[in-house]
Amino acid sequence: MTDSNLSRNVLDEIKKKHITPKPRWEFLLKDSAVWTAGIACLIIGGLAASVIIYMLRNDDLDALSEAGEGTVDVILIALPYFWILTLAAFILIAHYNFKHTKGGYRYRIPTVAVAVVFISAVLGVFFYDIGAGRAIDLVLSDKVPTYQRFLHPRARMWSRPEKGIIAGTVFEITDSLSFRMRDLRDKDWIVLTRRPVPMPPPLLQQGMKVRCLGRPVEANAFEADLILPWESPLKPIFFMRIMNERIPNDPAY
Amino acid sequence: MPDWQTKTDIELVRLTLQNQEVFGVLIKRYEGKLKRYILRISNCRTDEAEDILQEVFIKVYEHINAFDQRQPFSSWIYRITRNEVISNHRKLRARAEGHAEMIREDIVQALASELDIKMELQKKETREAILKVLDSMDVKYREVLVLKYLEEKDYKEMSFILKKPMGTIATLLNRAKKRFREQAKEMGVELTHI
Repeated sequence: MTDSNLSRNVLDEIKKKHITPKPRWEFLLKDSAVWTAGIACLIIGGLAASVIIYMLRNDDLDALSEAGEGTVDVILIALPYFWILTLAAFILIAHYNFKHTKGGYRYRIPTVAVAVVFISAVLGVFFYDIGAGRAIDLVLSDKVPTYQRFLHPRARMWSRPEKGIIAGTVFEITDSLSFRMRDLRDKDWIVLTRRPVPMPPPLLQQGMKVRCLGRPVEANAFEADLILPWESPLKPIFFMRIMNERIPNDPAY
Repeated sequence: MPDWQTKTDIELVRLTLQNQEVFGVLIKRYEGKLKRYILRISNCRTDEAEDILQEVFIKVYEHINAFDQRQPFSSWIYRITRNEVISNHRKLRARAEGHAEMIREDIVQALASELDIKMELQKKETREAILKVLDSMDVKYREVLVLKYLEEKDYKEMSFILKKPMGTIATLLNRAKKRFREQAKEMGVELTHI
């Protein structure tokens, strides 16, 4: 083929195969899809980050330290590996998407990576502050047995009766000094306390999920020194804290 | 028949959407440059380069609505060409013929000057020596040298064509020049430093 007839050959080929220019909306749709997928990944990554923050900011570390657990051991067992992997995966996908947008090639990989991690972290703090991290964790714990059993670090952390650490759901309050509880591995325990349960508010009641520190005294009996509600209080980091601090000074209030 | 030759690339793109025949003007405008570019960045034969080129123009026509007029058309068509060369890479065989005649002497001089190399510019052997060194280089270095010195593209265009940030292009180019000198030395190509 010579240069002079290439033009004719291409035009003939276009005609023969009935090739027409793809419509503009198709390219716009593709670009939008890449951006939407990237933004969705950032939001999901932010939600994963909020669950990680929630899991690392509960009072487990304080409680278990009081029970004599080594800090490093507690941290290793408390790290939410599943959520860390989820966050990493979505950060990578968001990064990939951004690099494949029209102008994404202009930015260096480390710049994009830092930006994506930063945005995920900010979203993570925001979602944590509004309670999304806790809500996700609680919903998955209640509705997805696999999550509770295998993927949840707190379930691992609070399923060690041999170390005097258990958690579960109260299903019968026998008297003011004992109650019956089904632990996270579906084993039933009689939990004994030496004095009235020192935990209101909220008052201990049937159906409530609690953490117990103490020691097993028999195969199915556990003597508790400390009983805490399963849900840690939410400790806002930034957004809600600022809002809470501003409200008393607001002239509207 | 209207004088399409005087129209800019962007005007021709717009006209192509109304009249398929106008696309032929764009083809004629770019076929020579792109064929040389394909031969310079790949190790393919002339007939293979022409097949790739035909595919390139068909793709350009099919995707002409994706062309963003904020970029030069030439950068866009070079990017498509490069993508097509990459996707054909495995099919291509080692170069069986030289293309030394495709390098103009002023370009050889520019390359030599940039690389601090003194050459006998009139000799065809010198041009062949440059190609020999280029051919032996890693494709990531070869393509920046080709775009900068043989296709005479600026950093912004190179950034768009290679889909890399401008800072990365500058780094690659520096490394490529260093590698070129080393490679020339290793291959015993007679290039005398100034």
